[in-house]
Amino acid sequence: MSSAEHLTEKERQRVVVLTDILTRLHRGATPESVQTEFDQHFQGISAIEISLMEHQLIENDDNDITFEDVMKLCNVHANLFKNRVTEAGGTSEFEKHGHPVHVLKSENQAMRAAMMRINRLLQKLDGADVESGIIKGLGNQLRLLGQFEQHYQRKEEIIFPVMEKYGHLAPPKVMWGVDDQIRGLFQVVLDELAQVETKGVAAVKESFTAFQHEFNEMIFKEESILIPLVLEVFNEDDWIAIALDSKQYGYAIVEPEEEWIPNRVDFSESVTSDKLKEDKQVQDKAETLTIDQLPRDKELPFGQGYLTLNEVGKILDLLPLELTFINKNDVFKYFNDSIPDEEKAFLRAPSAIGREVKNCHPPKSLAMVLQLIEDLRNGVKDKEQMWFERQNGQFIHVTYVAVRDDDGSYMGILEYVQDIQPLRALTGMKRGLD
Amino acid sequence: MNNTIDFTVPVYTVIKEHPELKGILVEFGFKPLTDPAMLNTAGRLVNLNQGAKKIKADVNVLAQQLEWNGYDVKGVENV
Repeated sequence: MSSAEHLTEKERQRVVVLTDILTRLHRGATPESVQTEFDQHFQGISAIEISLMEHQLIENDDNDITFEDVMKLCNVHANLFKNRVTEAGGTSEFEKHGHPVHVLKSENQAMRAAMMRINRLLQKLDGADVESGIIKGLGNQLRLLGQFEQHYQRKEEIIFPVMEKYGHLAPPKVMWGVDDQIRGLFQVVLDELAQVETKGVAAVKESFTAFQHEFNEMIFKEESILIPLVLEVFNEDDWIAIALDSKQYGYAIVEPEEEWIPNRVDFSESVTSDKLKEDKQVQDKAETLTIDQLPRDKELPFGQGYLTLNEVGKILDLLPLELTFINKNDVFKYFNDSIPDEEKAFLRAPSAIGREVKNCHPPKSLAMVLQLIEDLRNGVKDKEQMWFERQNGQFIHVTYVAVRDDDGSYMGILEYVQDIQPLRALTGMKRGLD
Repeated sequence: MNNTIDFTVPVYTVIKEHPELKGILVEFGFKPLTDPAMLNTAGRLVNLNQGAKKIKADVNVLAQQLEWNGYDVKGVENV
């Protein structure tokens, strides 16, 4: 990717300033204290350039800068862009209904409107006796706003992988961390609302104000930094895949009114091959996975018997488990499709196939995931199990097991996930037919 | 970002601008709204005032429900 030798003197200067600012944040300086200096040096610099610089600094080992520092810089960053937001003229693809960018923006608008309604209700509750009708309405509106989860999930699970594919590793990581903070703040609001009768409206109000501030900042970051950045780097095939994958995650408050049909469906050959070169690593992986040439009905030796490829596929999709496989290089390679999406404990997107597993997790659980992978790889463990209850009544049991070849060499990790609530609920016996 | 609900425009238009209202309206008694075909036909002909009358509900109660959900209302016709 971009290496230091290609930088001009000016660019090198900027990297020095950015390093200095981030180092100060790392040592505890407040974001406000660096705003002026940041504005001065980064006025007119595109979001991509700044994110690339941040990326380099995180990856670079000769400084202490972590992505948590970049996260602190996020607001500073956004403030600069607030002062010079420019709108492009003409109707582009992304301004059309159903285009993933249009969908994101419509959702943001609907969520802003929901926040206004919530504020109004909180104001109405001020001073007055707690009116149960308004509390119910407030609950309605918060539940509605809670659909931001779908918006965040689409961003994290579908858009971030494509950004990573193009080498933008830092912005997704940083944003995902902030998303998780916002999720936490929202949960506090819900908890306060549940206790409104004993603790009063003030606590709800206070928690909502805290949430709203960060939430609005995120909307701004999405629209002024994330969207311009991805519009510059994603091609139309990427957007088509994103639009397609979006459906299974669902939408926040507003659904796309129509399907986006791009003017040009086929991405031209030459451009595609350029992209392929750029993206060679992932493509190479994909090529070794290609099985189109293999006869689907040829008997192949499996275990103690024989199966055709066709039979293998059908059987894997019938096992009552969510199966996920990552290979020895930590690349997400396979998931089966036997459980309906709405019942899945962990939704997977086809577009995430080929993605490195370290990029598939929110920062807060990453350390645990990497530890687990290392332990399974090195044989410290062969298996790890976890279980938890979900709000929908499911009792999820998760197993991670190391897959090893006959000679013991590590091949990857198989994850299998099952809702065991129906099994836990069994009593007595049933020995006849239905 | 308009949070005002106009009781004199067709229900279809109201839902188009505020898709999130559908749940509240259905809960209030506008059951046919769950059927997209009904929304597309009757929904284009009937406004909230007329709709409330059709299902024999008090339009003022509906207005209050919406206000309790943070909306402004306008054009509510008292019977």
